Amino acid sequence: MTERELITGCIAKQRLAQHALYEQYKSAMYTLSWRITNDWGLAAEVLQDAFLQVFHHIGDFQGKSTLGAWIKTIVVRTAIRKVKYKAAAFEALDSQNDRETVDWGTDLDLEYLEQAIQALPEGFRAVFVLAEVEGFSHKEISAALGISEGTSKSQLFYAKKRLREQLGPMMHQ
Amino acid sequence: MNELNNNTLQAAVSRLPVYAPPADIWDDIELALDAEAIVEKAIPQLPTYTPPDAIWESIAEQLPVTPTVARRVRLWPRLAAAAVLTAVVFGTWWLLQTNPAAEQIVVTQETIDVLVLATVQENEDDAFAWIDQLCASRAPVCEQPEFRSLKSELDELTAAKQRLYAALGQYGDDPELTNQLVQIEVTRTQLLQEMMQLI
Repeated sequence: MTERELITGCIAKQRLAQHALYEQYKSAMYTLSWRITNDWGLAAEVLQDAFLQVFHHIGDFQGKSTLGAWIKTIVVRTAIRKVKYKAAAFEALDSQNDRETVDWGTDLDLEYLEQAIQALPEGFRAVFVLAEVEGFSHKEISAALGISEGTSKSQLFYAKKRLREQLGPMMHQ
Repeated sequence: MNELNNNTLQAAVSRLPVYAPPADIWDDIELALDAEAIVEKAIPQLPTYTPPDAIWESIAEQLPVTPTVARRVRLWPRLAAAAVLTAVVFGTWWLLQTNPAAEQIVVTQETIDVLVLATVQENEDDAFAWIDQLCASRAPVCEQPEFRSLKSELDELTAAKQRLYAALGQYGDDPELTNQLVQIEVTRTQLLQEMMQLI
């Protein structure tokens, strides 16, 4: 089934097309939900809610982005709504350390990296996952999280700094 | 911020694992889609209700009064109408004078035909059956405490209604039982409206 056929089928509320669409994107979206929420149960809720929204609004999809990117935006917004962020999670951070250098070395252990991402404070983690793992621009992150682009940039900087600090001891174990 | 060896991070991030969701998530999605399909199908079939006259009276009281525009009134239509009215009044008086025995006053007690009432209720019963169907499909709204309370009240009234129908079968068109039945139906309809608002 082509993407166009999938979309047409979903608009017509054909269950086979809806299931095919879910099957195609379920793992990527579940993983994204988990990386943002850091909670498997919440990630399952996000996936369910997000796909219901996708099926309700698929008629609004205009093809300005890929279908996957459109679904991803819905998943991110649903995940952000589900996570009860602390008030300070997305506060703008000062840029006095802008001159610091983060060196990633020559190799990163994936298991350690995954653990370190999950250990990040929630605001840092959301911005890092969206920017570095999902490839969102700061403009897209600011729209998704309701923060300024400057805040998104400073959060990413501190996220990387914290990540590197956390990876340091792990990599030397 | 300066970053060295950013390509190492990029390469690692692109190789992070992807996780498959539990299989029952699709079951839950499908269940929700089924419930929505039931609601979507049933909504056009829901009955419509005529509001009490008091509502319009209340609206009318709050509407600004438009000043009447003075206009030229042509006299002849009013004269013609007055002539017709006079002829009708006079004719009626003359008929009554010539046949006084035709005049009589009859006092009756109005009762509601149970069969007519049952026919009217059929439409609403479709809505009640639809709500039963919705709750059988485990729609989330049925789990709300307020909805459950209304549903419980509705079930009790439905049982009472069935008992009354059975009694009516024995006592025919007893006005007292019929009136109780009407009261029950009115309350059930109100409950239905409240439940529909929650849905």
